[in-house]
Amino acid sequence: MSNEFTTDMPSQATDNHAIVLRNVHKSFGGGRYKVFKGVNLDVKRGEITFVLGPSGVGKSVMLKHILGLLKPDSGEVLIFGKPIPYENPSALNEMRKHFGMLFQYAALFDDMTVYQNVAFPLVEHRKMTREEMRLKVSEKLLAVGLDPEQSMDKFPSELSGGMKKRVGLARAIVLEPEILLYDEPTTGLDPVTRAMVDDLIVDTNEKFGLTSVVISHDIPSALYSADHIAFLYDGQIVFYGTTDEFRKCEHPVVQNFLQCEERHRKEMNA
Amino acid sequence: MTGWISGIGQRFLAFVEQTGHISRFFGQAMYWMFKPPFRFRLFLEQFIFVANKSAFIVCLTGVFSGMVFAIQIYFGFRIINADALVGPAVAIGFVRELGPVFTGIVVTGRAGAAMAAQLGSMRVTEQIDAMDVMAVNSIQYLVVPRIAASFIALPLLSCLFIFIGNVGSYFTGVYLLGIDPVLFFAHLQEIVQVRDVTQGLIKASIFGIIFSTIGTFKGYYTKGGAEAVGRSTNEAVVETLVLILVGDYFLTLVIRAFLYRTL
Repeated sequence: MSNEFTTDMPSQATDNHAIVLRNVHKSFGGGRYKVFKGVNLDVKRGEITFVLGPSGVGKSVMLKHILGLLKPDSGEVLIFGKPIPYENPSALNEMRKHFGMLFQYAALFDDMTVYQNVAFPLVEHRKMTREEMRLKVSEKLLAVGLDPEQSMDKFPSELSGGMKKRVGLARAIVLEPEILLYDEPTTGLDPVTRAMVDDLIVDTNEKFGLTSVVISHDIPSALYSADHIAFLYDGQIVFYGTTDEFRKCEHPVVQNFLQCEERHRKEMNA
Repeated sequence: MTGWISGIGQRFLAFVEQTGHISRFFGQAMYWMFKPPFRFRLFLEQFIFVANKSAFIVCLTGVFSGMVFAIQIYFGFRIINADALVGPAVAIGFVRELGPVFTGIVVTGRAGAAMAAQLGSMRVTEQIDAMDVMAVNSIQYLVVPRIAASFIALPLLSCLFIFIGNVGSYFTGVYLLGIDPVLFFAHLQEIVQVRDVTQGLIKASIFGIIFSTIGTFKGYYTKGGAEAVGRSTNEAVVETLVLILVGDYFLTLVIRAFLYRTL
């Protein structure tokens, strides 16, 4: 099928890029609320890219565009050089199999155990025996630092916030995706768990050779984990660069963001 | 005056818009119902949830409804010396109307509300988004089994309600009101016909579709937090009950026109 979504033939223009957003415009409420006013972003393969920005600026809307859950009013989103096949549900589902996603609160299924949660994508998309599935789930739980024997039979309500994130991550990587998306992974966590999640993002990216996009407003996490940082403000990417370039960025909103973070840090030190 | 008219207009437009959304949602569910993979285990789980777990409450409401109708009809019919018609009158009322309508109401309160709450809770905690991101069609996984199970479960529950209601009516009529048991059954066969049963079963199936579609629709499109889940559940129950009672009238007209060739 010509419009079948495959990742093995990237276009020349985006050869080195896993995700490309080109001049994306999006508004809601019949055009009253313009969220994106020409967003351009290139996410390089194999890197961790943080998308930072103030609350309510449209960071999660960007994730939904990348996943094809929302369609831009104009502009285009390319995944491995291919436009998202919005009109073809089967091809769209095929495309989504290349993604894993860790949700803000992990989004584990309440009525399933840890094993059932992590095995869910395997049950749906892979033909495996019970034993193979159990081995795969154990492997992924170990990869995110959980003891399979102790955690497999627990329900999400019995897990701490940090453990839920780990299980969510195990579920996100169980199909061995090429791109991993994180939606506010460190929001609402204590400092120790936050540091653990930061390490988990870096380790997972290295261990599985992934491309990661992290939506966040957590500057310390971004400076610790990111290869590149994009700053979304007023419907556009106003900054894109390395962590060092981000520290030196002179855009007033980025500066304000950094100064507020600095103030926090000083208070902590005091 | 203008504001008043504009208010009515806006409400009407909102009603039309929601009807459109629900119809589209139902259309999507129908589309995915006949596309593989067919999730028989999920269907069975929902069938047990709707049918098995509602059976007791359906029996309880059925027996008391049958008993009270027998009493009320007896005191009405006694005036014209038609005591012997109490059994058939209760039976035909239950088979044609009360069975499907009461079962619809009872099951809406139990299973319809639960569907809206379950899906609403899944929506606000991003579990439905997670499913879509994992390339699993959430309508096919969550909505289709619920609608299919309700479509089949409600006629069965309705039969149970009718049977238990008539048992209640018999015991009240014969042992409390002193109606001759032979007379009680005498006219039953000639008055209650197969097409009456068909009418009741068609209605029950349609009520099954109505309560499950509205329940899942309200839950699936819940926006906000825990409060929104409560609001969705409440709206699902109220709107379903109104639709069942209003729809029953129009269904009766349509079914009579087709099955009885008369109004």
